[in-house]
Amino acid sequence: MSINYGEHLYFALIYMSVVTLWSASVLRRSMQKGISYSAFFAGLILNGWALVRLIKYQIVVSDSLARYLWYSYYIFQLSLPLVILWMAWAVDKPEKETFPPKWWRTMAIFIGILIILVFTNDLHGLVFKLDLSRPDWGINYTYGFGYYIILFICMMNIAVAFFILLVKSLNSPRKKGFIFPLGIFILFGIYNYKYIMRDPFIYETDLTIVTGVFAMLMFETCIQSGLIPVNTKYIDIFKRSPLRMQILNKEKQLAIASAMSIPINKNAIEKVIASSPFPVLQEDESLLFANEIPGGYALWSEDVSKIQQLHREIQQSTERLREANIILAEEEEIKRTVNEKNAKKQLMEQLEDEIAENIEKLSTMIVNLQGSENHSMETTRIALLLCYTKRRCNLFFKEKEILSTDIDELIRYMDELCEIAKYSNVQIATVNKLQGYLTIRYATLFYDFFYTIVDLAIQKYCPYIIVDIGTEEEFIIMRLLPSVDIGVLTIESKLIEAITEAKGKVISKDIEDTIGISISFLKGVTIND
Amino acid sequence: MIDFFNFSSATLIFIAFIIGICVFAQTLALVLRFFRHGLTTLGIFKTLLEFFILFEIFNFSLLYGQMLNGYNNGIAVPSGYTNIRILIFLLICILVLIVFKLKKSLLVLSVIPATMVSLPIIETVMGAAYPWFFIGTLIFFLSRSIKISIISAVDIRTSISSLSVMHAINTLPAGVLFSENDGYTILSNYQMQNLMIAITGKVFRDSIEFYKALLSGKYESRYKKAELDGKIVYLLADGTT
Repeated sequence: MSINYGEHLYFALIYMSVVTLWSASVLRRSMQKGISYSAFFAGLILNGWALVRLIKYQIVVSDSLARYLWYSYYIFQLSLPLVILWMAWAVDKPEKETFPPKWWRTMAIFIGILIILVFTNDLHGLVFKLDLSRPDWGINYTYGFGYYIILFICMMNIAVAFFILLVKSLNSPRKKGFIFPLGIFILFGIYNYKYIMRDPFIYETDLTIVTGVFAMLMFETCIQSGLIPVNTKYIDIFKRSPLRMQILNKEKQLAIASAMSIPINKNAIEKVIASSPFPVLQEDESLLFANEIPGGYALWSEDVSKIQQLHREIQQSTERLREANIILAEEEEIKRTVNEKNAKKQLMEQLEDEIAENIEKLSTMIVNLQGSENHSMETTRIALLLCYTKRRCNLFFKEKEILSTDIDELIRYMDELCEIAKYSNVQIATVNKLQGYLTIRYATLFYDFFYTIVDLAIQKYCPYIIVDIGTEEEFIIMRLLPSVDIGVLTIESKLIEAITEAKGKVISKDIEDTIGISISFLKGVTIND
Repeated sequence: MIDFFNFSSATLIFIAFIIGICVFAQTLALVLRFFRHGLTTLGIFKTLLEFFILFEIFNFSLLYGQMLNGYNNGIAVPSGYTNIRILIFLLICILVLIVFKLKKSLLVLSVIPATMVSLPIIETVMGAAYPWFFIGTLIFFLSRSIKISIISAVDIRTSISSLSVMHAINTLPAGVLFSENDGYTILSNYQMQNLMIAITGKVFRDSIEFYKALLSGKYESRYKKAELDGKIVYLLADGTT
């Protein structure tokens, strides 16, 4: 089948037109950048190839220009499968990750080397074995090793691209459609084989156009069978979609609206475009968003009424909680006041209980003072009792607040009593061997006991008492040694009970003319010898 | 056309190259014009006009091919294709007038004198100057198609077209996916693809499979599942839902 110069021109032009239409159609349908780029480059390669072919067939004489134009076919023949391979890899990749990977770039370098091999064929004849001395070298030639490598690389790249697409389409509901592009791929392989074998019919066809047609068919069947994902019928889908969305032109007039979109007034449109990308809350409790897109604006609203309702309920609950908190705080304040009063009352009752006997005793002593035989001694005793009562109150409150007290403070309290006792000529010498802190309860009981002995000593005209405070084994002990016998020690039952309760012991010992009295308690943890 | 015989082989090859580029550019202009105007009344007539201008360039290539055959065979043959040349001229004239009426732009009328060049009578009248008019017309069509392509491409990017829908859907912060009953994805936006990758680590072609994967809890380590107002909510590691 021989065609003339004019027909070469017509076929190339028709082919270029078809390729351009097809590439533009793929570009329009594709939603992934990788597919868009590969469709663009595939169109460019096929058109470039056709243009080179068109020029080549206008050359009458088979000279070097015609040969190098023929060699330049292989730029397109080798780069087209490379672009398809890139496309297959880029399918389903995120937009920012479509830059070719390292293995692809290595393959591109290898392709570049093969192109150089073709262009230097006149030097080595590894790709085509040409007899340039013959005028029909363009027809009567054989293939070298390089040609089969080129052919293998081309077919391998296409096969790998198919394999990648197949793997990526395994979860596609239309994976069975793979049979169509596979069929075309096999046909293309057969075509190439027949062309190399110089099949009379196949060899008469135009390799450039047929390869381009196969490439487009493979690409398109991949799209139609779902191996290459594309988006179609955007506007129809958009119009029928449940999205609450509309598209405005640059003049902010409605261009396309979805089925569920609601009319938006002009003021709201102006407001939301001005506040973009931030939304505007509308009266119907929906958030209106706007985004600038090429050619206009995309507006969409989101129903946030339920979220708003939830927000209101949370606010109401918060308010209720705040009010309840105020009531609880007031209740707490009242309870605290009542408790304070109760505690004070209880405290006063306890104190009264502690000192009631002393007060009564003091009253009796004051009443009996006028008729007493020894006025001075009774006065001393009254003073002693007053001082004791006062300090006893101090110790009572301390017992409520703290667990231990400084021993020096106890000694000071005892010294006060000693000073008063001097008015009745009772001299008391105190020796303290303890330092640090003493359990407050022990201190109180020591003080109570000391007062009892001093009061008795005044009544018995005892001139001297030696007091020794120290430790003995595991006991804290207070020894009192009056210079004369102060008689049988009669301690109030209440004090005895208290000492026993604190695991204390009172011991009296006869020592010739007098008796030694001691009170002891187990060492407390707060004792510091 | 016989006057082309005076041109050198290189010039003739260059003219063939111009015709090739012209066809490519005019096809591009035709497609872009269609994409730009869609199926509006003006759009249909404008696209038809571009289509017949493409035909007119093919017409020119027919004349040129005929001339090349004669040139290479050393025989001067008549240009021929008389009827088709006149028919295309008339069709273009009608379309130009319709577009002029719809658009009220004088510029479109410039196509008529350019198209006249292909008429047999003009070829006869022009004589030896005809090749220059032929080349001039090709350059005119080439310039015109390049201009239309650029304007249309810019306009497509800056006006509402079917591509705007995709841009609009891609601006949504929510993932959107439309599929056919068998799960085959017709339209999905970038956000949906990002969500698929965030939730499962891959992009699903089958929306039913994706939905099943979500319900199965196979990828539960990548998100926390919650319920809000009767709907399932997936809380992702990046804080989005």
